[in-house]
Amino acid sequence: MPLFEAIRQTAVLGEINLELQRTPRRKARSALLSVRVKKLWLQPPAYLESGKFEAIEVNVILAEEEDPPKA
Amino acid sequence: MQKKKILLRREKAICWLLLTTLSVSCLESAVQCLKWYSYRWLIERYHYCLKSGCKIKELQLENGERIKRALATYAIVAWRLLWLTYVSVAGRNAQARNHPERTVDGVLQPHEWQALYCKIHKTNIPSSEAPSLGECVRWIAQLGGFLGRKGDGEPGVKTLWRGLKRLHDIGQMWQLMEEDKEDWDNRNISNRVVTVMPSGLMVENGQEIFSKSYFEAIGKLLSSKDLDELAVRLFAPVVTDRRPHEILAHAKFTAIEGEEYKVMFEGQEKRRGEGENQRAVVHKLLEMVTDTVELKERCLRIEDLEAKVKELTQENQKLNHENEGLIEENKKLTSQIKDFGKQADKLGVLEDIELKIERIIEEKLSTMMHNNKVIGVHKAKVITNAQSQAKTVKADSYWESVSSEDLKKSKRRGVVFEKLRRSYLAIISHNDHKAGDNNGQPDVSKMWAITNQALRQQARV
Repeated sequence: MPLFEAIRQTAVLGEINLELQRTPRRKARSALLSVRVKKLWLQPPAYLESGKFEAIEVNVILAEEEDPPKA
Repeated sequence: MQKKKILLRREKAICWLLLTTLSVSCLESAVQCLKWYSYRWLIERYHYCLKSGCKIKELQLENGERIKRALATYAIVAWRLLWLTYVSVAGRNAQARNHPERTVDGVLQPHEWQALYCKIHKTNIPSSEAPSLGECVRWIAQLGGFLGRKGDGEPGVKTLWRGLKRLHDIGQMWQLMEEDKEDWDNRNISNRVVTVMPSGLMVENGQEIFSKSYFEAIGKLLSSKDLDELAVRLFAPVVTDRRPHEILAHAKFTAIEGEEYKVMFEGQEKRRGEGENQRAVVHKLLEMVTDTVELKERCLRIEDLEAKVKELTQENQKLNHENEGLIEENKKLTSQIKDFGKQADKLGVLEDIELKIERIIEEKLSTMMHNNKVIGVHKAKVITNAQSQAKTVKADSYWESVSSEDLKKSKRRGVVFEKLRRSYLAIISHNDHKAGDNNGQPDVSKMWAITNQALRQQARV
């Protein structure tokens, strides 16, 4: 299962506020991010011999702005 | 299609996906990871400090243990530099600990900030209180070449790096100079009576000031608080070999009542036995005076010389002007001469032509005269020969001097015509003089003639 899909299926753990600085493409604003956390396993590529490589355990954190403001 | 448009109108959503091997059990730990991720630019700068600033790549420590130790040291250096860079910027990394208004104590050593303060303010008396951290960072940046103009923003890592390097040297020097200050303070606190001789230097309105009036005045000066300083400035340097401001800070003079030429001196003075004494100072001053007199004379001489030089340059300019005028005139004249020359050439040509014409005319005239003569001579006798005679006269005068014998051998051009001419002449003279009868009348039967047959033979027809 793709990484983004997998992480997005988990429940939102909490929300944090992030102050964004001004950049050439964006005004300064504060963004509300919803944080999801899950322990996932990265599988070895399919073309490699199975059994030689094990899946890697990683903690995945996704901080995503659910509702970006209108431009 | 509609959905896409709506999406386009929105700002790009922030989306961070972090993979970590650190354990993330709760929201706090997740937030911690996110926070660390937000420092990515700072981390970039940190590596810049380590790599470009500390040049850890150029270390040639062949052994892992050594590199570790070096890195431990350089990590502190780089961290300190980076911290200094970002500490003064309140908004750059909204951190609680960024307080540019806090005192610099604890960040810089006292001797460092004192040296910094004195270097920037061009003084040698440091401020009594430690300046703020923000100020210090700006000053360090100034040492590194930061100008602090309106649009310059905050100083960067590199500028601060350069400034810090300089500050270390300046601070070290400051420390060296400061080291024995306490020692000096202790050793030089003295309490003694100083004798001030009214020397030739202490003169007012051209008159020497004598003891009583002088010290009355000085005493008054010394008794008043502000004028005390003034008096100290006036003569303390001569007495103590110290600079006025040093004395202001460290010494005090009071007149002793009932004693002439005596002043009580309290405070620090130069170590006894060192430097110059009063007499030497006076001597030095006198030398300076004589030097200045000499200098003045020299200056005057220089002025005289300069004035002369000015005059000479003016004259020179005048002469130059005249010279230019002359040169122009010369040019004009030469151009005129050229014109004249052209005309003269023309005249010469004309003269030549005239001469030629004259010569030609003369020649023509002479030939005509000659012809006339010849014609005149022969008219009466043989008119028919006149023409041939005239023709032959025109012939080259060269042949006149050539004898008949030479003529036969000659191969010169025109020899044939000469031969013909001579034979004609012979025929003519024969016919004129010899072919006559006894009475002198011409006799046709005796005359010579070129017959048709002979002509034919000649022409080889």
